[in-house]
Amino acid sequence: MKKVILFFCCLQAYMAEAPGSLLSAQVASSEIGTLVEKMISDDSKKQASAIKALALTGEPQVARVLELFRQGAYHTSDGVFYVFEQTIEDEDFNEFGLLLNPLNGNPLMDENGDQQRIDVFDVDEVEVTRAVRIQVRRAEVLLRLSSRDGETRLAAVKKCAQPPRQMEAMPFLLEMSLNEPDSKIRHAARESVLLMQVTEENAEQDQRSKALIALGAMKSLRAAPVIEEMLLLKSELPASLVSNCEDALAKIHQHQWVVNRMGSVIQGISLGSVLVLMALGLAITFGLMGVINMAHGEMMMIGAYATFEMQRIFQHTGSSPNNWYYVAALPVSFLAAALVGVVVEFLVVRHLYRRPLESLLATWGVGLILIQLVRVRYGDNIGINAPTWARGGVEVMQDVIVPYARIFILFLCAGCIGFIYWLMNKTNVGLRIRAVMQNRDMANTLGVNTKKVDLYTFALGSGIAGIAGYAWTMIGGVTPDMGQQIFIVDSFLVVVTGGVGELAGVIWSGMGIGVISKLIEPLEIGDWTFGPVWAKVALLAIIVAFIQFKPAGLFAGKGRADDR
Amino acid sequence: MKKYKLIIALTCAVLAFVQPAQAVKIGILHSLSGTMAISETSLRDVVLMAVEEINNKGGILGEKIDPIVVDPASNWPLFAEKAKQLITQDKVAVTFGCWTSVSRKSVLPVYEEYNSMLFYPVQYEGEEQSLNVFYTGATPNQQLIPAAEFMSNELGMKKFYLLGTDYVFPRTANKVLKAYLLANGVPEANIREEYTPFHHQDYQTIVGKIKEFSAGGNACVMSTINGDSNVPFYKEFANQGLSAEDCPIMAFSVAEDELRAMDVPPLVGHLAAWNYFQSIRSRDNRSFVRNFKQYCKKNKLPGAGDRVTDDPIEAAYFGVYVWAQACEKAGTFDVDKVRKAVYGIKFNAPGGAKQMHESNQHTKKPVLIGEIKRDGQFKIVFQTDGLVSPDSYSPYLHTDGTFPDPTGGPSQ
Repeated sequence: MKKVILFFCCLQAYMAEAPGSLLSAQVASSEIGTLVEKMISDDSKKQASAIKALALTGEPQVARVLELFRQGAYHTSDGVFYVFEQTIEDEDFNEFGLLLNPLNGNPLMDENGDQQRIDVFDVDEVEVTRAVRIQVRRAEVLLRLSSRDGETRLAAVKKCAQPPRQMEAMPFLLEMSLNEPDSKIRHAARESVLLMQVTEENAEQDQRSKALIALGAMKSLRAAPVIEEMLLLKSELPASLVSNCEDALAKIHQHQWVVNRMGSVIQGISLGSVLVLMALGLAITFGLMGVINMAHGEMMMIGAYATFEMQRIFQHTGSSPNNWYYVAALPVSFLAAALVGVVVEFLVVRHLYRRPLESLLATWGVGLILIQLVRVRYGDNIGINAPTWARGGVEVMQDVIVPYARIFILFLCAGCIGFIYWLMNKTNVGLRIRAVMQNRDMANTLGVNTKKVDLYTFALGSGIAGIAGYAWTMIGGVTPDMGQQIFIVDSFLVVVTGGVGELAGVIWSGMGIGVISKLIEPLEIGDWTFGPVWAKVALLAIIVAFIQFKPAGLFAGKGRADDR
Repeated sequence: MKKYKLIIALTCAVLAFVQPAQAVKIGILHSLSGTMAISETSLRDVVLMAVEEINNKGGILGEKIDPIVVDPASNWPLFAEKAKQLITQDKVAVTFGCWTSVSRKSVLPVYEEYNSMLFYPVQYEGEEQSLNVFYTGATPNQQLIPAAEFMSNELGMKKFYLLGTDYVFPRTANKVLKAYLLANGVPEANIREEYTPFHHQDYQTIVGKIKEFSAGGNACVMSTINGDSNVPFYKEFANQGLSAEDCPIMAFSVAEDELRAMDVPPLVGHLAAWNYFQSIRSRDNRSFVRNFKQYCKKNKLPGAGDRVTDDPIEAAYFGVYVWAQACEKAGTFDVDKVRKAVYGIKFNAPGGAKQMHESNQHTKKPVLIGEIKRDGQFKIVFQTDGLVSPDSYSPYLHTDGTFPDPTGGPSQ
């Protein structure tokens, strides 16, 4: 509330032409009511003045009212206003609007606690012309400066400084640049103030050059295009200002360079962790067991669909989240894929251990069957809403953001590696797995039940693939054929490059491929950039060349493939 | 050719004796498996629904429609084979089908060789005009230009990042967009063009570039990203802290059906340009939406009552009605006569009244721009006045004003 009052004072000082009556006292909601009514009227002059007056109320909730109005959420019927944004359908698919309070956009409830509704065909939409919409957008920005939500405030702060600049926001921005509690917004507000000062052509040259120096010191990426534009008209600027411009631009470009390189490396590591996670399961089923497992991608798909099933059971949706589903989905996706792995091993793979090429065809067929089964059950088009904590990211340095989802995958990947390492090297099961891998007949002679070990190993590889599919739902889409379209080639690429039969190889090659491809992608040669298409081509060329020199991959393995 | 017609006539005659009620066969050529199944199955469903509706009202010219569904499995050469099978073996009077341009290009020679008729329901890159195809989706000028106009005049955008999947539609679309933007005073330096391969999943670098591009504000993305790449793109975009306030995305290939597979709340405020949205508020459209949902529920199709309608679904649906109306008008199923009857025909589609173009095989439609809402539907924020006439060949690409002649048609 303090902020609102403060806003009034600023505005009063700044906007002499504003009608005093509106600013003199706290605006009563009934007053907003009259303004809203004026805004909805047919008279365009009344409309314009009402929008202006509404913008000056400084009430954050009015921003919502304006937004609803701009989007055409206001409807009339016999002189009564109905506001609704979302609609729902009853069981006969009739459409009803869910009513909102016209004065603040909050839901209108009936006595049973349900939101009131109205048949959409009982009302007429209030038409809003483009000119009005543009006016309303500007008013919205002004009001959002005092929003309670940080993100909204931040967006508004940035928007004010974009051309056409909103000079009427200046006093408020100045205030925010000093007293805003959120440091990120405070920083952005200061940036906006400086940007507006720089472009104020009538301002003192001294003020402009000070602002330029400050922007350079802030390494403001937002200022770069503005300064570049100024330099286009170099001849009209005083020489000292030009050199200020150039100094600031040099600093910003240097910062941009660092941001880009840092970004590339972080993105590379993130892509690498995705690739490693994808390939880990395959490193077990193909690398260690020697099965050319073409159904590996489908195991990931099973994991992703298990996650979807959990989302359904926990009734998690984007607008009413229940994040526990994602916790439950971790073991479930592992178990679901492992279970499918057990069935596939028992029915198909176990008969083909000594015939690797036939395992290729058989597992490919298994993959197709799995795809079609899932397609029949779920259809092609399902959505998984990531848990709400995975939205957004953390700013690791100025202007470099790492999404939470990718950080999670990095840790999940590390966890899986740790788990496999522990299992293989510290447990009895791992000992047996390694024994069977190295010499099946000898292990058999020494009393190891190789059939059982094979079953466990295949289930483990499939389960890990399931976890990869689970993690994938955070950053990518889910379709029945995602395994074949997205995963299988990359997974084999990583395993083969890393060296068949060596788990450490997967980590190094996955990370290597990830980082190299992210370093190639933004490369520029003259005017031409690699981009994703040529980055992929270049990466494959590098891998082909690499395999020529090291046919066994990064680490020559001691897998079952060595028996032959 | 004559012999061929004679055979048809004979078969019809035989059939007339065998079957108590005559039936005219139509082909449905949509992928039900493979990559494109995600989009194309809905079109099969809606065409079957239209057929059922027409049959319930007594069919066309007293004959029931007998739909023959085949699955070309997202395999482009297989499209041509299946088309040939529909025409020569099943002797269909018309085919409704295809989604991707490459599948249409694959079947085009078949339809021209046998002088058969195809209704193609999807927006595409234009630059084609075959007398054997009726295009019920949008041409570039019916989607791109009003969208670009909206971006610059209403939202005040000055910088445009043209991002697409690497194939013919995005490349042509971006050529048209670029020519339009340049002609309207946007400097070349403010336009960036970029492509990703099919099924591209890692948008980190590109989102980073967009961030740099849009840092100064007043920048937008014009996206022709297709299919499953949209999900990771929008997710990365939101997770990197970009919103519709910082840099709105105007999409040309994301409709209600695609939004079903996305986490919608972070996408609120982004835009799409189409000729139809499920949220069009009219009684006709409401009953269309209702019927489609009930049809999916009744037939236990995946998704059932949660299914949505979108632009290609509407275009596929009214295609059947246009054909039926033209057959009634021509009084026959003969391809050449029906073709003439289609020209300039006016009809009521679920999204409102539309008209077929008088000569260029395409459809006159309104252009709508929608803003994504929290419930996965679009709020219509802009609509052109009246219908926009289709350009089969874009004047932005044929700057000398000469356009190629139509291909196909009756053999001489």
